[in-house]
Amino acid sequence: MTQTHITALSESHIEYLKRTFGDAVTFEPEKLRVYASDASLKTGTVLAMVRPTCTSQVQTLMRWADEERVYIHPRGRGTSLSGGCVPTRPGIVVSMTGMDRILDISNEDFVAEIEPGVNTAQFQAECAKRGLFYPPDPASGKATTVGGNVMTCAGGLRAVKYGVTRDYVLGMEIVLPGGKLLKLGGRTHKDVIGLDLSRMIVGSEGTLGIVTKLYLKLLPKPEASASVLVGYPSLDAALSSMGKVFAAGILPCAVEFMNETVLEILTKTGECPWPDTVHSLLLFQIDGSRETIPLENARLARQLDDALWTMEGVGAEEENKLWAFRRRVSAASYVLGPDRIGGDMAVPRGSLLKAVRRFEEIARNNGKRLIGFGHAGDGNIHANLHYDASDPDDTERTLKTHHELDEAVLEFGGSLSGEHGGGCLKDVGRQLGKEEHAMMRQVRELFDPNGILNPAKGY
Amino acid sequence: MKRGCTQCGECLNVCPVFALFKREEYAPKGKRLLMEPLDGWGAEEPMPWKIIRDLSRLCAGCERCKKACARKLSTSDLLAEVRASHPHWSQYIWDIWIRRAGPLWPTAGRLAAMFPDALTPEALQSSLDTARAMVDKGEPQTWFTLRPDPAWTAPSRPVAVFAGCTARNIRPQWIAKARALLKVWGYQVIEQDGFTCCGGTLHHAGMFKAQADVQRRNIERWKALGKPVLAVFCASCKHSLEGYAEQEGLLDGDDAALWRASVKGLSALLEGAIIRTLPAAPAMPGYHQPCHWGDNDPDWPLLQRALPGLTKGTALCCGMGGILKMSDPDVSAQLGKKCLAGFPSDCHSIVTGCSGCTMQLASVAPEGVSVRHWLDIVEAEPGL
Repeated sequence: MTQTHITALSESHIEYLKRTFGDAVTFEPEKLRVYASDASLKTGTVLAMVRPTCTSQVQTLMRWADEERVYIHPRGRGTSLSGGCVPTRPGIVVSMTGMDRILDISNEDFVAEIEPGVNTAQFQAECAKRGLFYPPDPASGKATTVGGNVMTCAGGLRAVKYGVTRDYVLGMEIVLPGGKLLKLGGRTHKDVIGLDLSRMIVGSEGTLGIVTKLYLKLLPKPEASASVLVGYPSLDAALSSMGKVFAAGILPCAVEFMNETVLEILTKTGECPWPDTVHSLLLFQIDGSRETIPLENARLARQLDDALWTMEGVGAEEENKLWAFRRRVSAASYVLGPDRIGGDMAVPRGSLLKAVRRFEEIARNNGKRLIGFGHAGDGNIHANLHYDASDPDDTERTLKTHHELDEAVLEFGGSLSGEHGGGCLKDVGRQLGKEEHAMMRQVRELFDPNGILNPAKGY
Repeated sequence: MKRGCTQCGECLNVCPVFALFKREEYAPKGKRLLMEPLDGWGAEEPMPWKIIRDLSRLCAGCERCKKACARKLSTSDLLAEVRASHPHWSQYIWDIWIRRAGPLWPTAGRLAAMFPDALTPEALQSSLDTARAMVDKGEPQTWFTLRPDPAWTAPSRPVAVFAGCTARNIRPQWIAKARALLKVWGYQVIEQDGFTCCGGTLHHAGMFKAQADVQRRNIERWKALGKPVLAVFCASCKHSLEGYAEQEGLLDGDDAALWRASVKGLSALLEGAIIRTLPAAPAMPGYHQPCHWGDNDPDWPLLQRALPGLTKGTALCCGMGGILKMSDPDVSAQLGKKCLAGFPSDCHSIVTGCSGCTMQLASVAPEGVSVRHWLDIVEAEPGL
């Protein structure tokens, strides 16, 4: 890769950008501040922000940036926890919030065509209005864009049954560095001709191109759902019970777990309906038809006979009351410290208990508490550490813990990230084999020979 | 516990200004990232206030972001604090308009109504529209009547109506209607309440001294009246009054608890209402839910029962909150129009439960669309 990238815009660059993009380009420092970082709270230098509203603008920008060797940092709504949107090198941030149209939702093809800046929750709601279902549901779906979900292959609560974002991307239009537009896949659900580049681009963390249009697969919206919150004396008992559920052939659409520390902070910060003997929770959701839900619920209940306590909810209103406890975890966690480092490691499902217990031990050895919760059904652990950034000792111990957790997850054959991506924070070389990592970089170079896209991110 | 913005982005979907511009810098997190260094947080060097002022003004003060925030950070409060330390002429005008010019509001409205659109400079159009909305067009309509259940017995504690500036200055009939309803319910209603501005909008403007002054006067008055229940029919006033109990040094422990229990939405006092819906009620009425009711909107259940087919608007804030009306009337008007666009196209009659929302939406409503406070369309029906 060439090393001649620019780190400051010249007068002629600025003039060109103004002339070409008009109101869609911004240079004022007070407006650029928000584009210098994301939810990782890491910051970089933004030379300008361009907010395209159509594919041809993206092509124009990518052609120019490639010729001028200007780094490009695409972003949705900047919610990455792994620094995926941070300008790691001084460059132009491309905000995709200006391309947020839902172009089509088809009840015939079970396909949606959308622009990448569409908000995930709003898209799901529009599908639901038409009796359709877009299953990928990252917990942050109210905040994220679908384009951002595609670039990180976001999972979410329902991944255990419905899979992740990649499973719903049928095709896309993507602008490569240099301005070339690729049209991959489309409205056809089955297509095995050629390489499935669309699905390869999903999860590529903005390193291969800027997506300007997505073709997404939809399902019929399940008619009904039910949830049950189940209390156990320990996480050991909870996960053993979950094993029985799967062994009985039941496939819930979500299974969330919460460790003992989570219950402690929930109890400290609000009303909790479970008895004092409960120290760990599972939260199941099942979906289906109105006729089958009671039957599935009864099957599930039979496998949960070892629980200390249960609370059931049928239908959105009742279920929301149960899910409110899960949603409270994030805010409640701040009782353990005003600052947070989050992890989202994934391990084989059978190793979940051992991994959480190992993480807790590592945290304890560093004088920390591990807030452990997540998607038990697919072995995805949100391992959060809270600390006080104004206390250097606390900060050092927390960072040390965080790095040791990454080491530990690999011992279990797991992944450094199940959802958030490598961004600019993860040393993915620890997980990837040397040959495999090199091959990935070669692919990247094929798409982006001058290395202008998202440098020092991903892989 | 409270520290800076985590940039989780939960505030974007609930921010009416973001919904309008779809730009992160206009969302609460964008403003917080600029303000927090001024507040002592953030690694960056603080920017001079004059650079960030224009951006920071773009807040409707609806506080939806606070509700969505995991850390319960209020960007409108942060902006108020920054405004307090960086005063600007528009705040003083707002203070004068709210606290001292009340009796002039109807005149301003009538003058604006006489001003022909063709001669109005574009920059003043939004302000003139708002002033015109102050004029009571005098089209009384009764869509439903309310009376208590015959078995109802009112508590003996007296009730005073906290009217707010809009009702006191330009819609006195709302006060009369509220009192009439409470009397039909058998409450002992205090006629000469003597309250002043709730102080909410002064807070948003960063006029903390003026806010403290009106708060103190209201508390003194409440005590002088024997600490009655306060019936409030404006969501923004109620939101502001509830804040009194949390304010340090304003009310002592017992009085704070009593105050908290005393501030009630008018609808909440009309328990077990027997409703008679009249033929004048439109087939497709709309309801604008004021942001400041938060999760406790007492009007919605009552109005839902009274008006079959009542549909909530799907848009966010109407744009009246805070001082946006003064600092950027055009953006405020755009928010109002976007709010109205959130109603079905065949909905021509909208009601709400906030004085500010009523004025704001009425000022941007197109020909043929009416916006009223629900007190405009109800009559008390004496018990049978």
